[in-house]
Amino acid sequence: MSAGPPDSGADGSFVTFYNAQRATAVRLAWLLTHDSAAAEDVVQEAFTRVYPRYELLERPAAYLRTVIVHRVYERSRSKGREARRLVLVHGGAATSVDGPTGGLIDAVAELPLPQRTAIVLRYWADLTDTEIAAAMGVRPGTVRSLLSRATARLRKDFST
Amino acid sequence: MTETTDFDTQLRIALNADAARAPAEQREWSGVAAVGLRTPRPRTATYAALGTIAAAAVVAVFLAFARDPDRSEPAAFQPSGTEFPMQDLGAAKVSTGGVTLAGLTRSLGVAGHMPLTVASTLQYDGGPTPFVMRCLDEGGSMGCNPEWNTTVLDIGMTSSVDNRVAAGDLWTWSNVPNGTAYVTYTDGVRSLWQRPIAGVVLFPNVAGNNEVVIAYSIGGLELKRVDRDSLAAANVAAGNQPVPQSADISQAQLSELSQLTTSTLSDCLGAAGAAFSGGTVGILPPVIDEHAVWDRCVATTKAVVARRLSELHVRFYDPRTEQPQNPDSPYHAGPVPAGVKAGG
Repeated sequence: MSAGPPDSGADGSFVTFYNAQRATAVRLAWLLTHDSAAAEDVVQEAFTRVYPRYELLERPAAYLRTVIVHRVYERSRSKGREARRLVLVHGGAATSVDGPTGGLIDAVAELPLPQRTAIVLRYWADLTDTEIAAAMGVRPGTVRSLLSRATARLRKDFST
Repeated sequence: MTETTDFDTQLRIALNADAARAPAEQREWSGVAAVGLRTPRPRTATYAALGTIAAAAVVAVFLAFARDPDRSEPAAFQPSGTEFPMQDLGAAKVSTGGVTLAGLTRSLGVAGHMPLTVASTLQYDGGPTPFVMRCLDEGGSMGCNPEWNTTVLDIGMTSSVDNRVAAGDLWTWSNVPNGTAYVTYTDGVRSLWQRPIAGVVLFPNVAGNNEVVIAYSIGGLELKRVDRDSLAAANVAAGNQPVPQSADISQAQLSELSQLTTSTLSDCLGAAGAAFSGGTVGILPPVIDEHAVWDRCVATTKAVVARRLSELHVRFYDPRTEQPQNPDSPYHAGPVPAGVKAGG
């Protein structure tokens, strides 16, 4: 296994890998679900799936990312809807995120799950089209299409 | 091109800000610890194959018996009623100003109500040592319970009259038993259930006064029931709860010991790697066990304050039966009965 840090644990152990990757994994799951409990569940399930295969994986972090994306999709399908989001009533107005970036965060959260996933993997995880395609289980052309539609919609929503 | 770059930059900033709201609690990989696989294994094909088989068996056992009860779906037990979901909105400021860690102060959100904050802080309030206070805060209206008061059922009700924001009041229980996976709530009108976060559950109160609330383990075992009878029994128990002795100190000494508590705790948490960024909520690197650091620093701070009290040759008295003798004591108003919560 040639892959070293940062993709695998620094000393090659699963525990090191888990400790190094968990926070990032939770953030990815959170960005896709906006549900703390669901994010924790997805990440725990993802690590338990990676664990028995860990020794055989060339790039365990990439595999973990793929499992997380797939688990989010599975949960979305099984619930018949995307991850639930709570709208908190505050000061008489429905708000979910304060601050100058709040509108854009909300706009991303409103995207369909495939577009949201592509946006998160490109603009937060800094992945290439090919890497995003591998994580989502689609072709790179599909990724470019998803990104194009998503960014167009975000520009439109955020400019109004 | 500039417009595209600006938009891309804004998108990256927004996503990073959003990612910072993700749950920050670091959990250890308990499945590995249970089978002693902490050391790196040789990466040969044989070992890998054997490891895969063994690990699959371990994971199966792990999934069956050792999953986090707060997060698992029930195998055989399904709480009755409709889920009333609660969301962990991340770390929050502590309105008391006390020093704490991000994992110990959480903002909790439910539909139709402003967020509530649950926080643990260490405060010196004239006892033999500082005590950890656990507080539930609704927009500055706060109820706290000290660690020594183990009998109280920490039940409360928010007030939409006071906060002038929420669509209704919330029935709150902020110290559900350890191991609680689900809490059911019936008030004669609705049957709801919720997964606790940080030991807290929040339900919309409609009927009032007829609540029957039950905490269940992951397997459906009833851990605690709250109804009129149990609340009455808890009130009796709280009245019989021993209270810590009070220190017969002046207002100036109280201020000194409060400051010593804050500075010692801050220094200890800082030495453990916590960053405060000018506030009172420390953030530890994700690989550090937040609760272990907190417990260690609380113990250290208590020892430092107790030593200072010893240096001051402070007299201690029973606040239920005695009055302070120090003419500058801030506690001349009279004893505080057990079970009475501090703050609002």
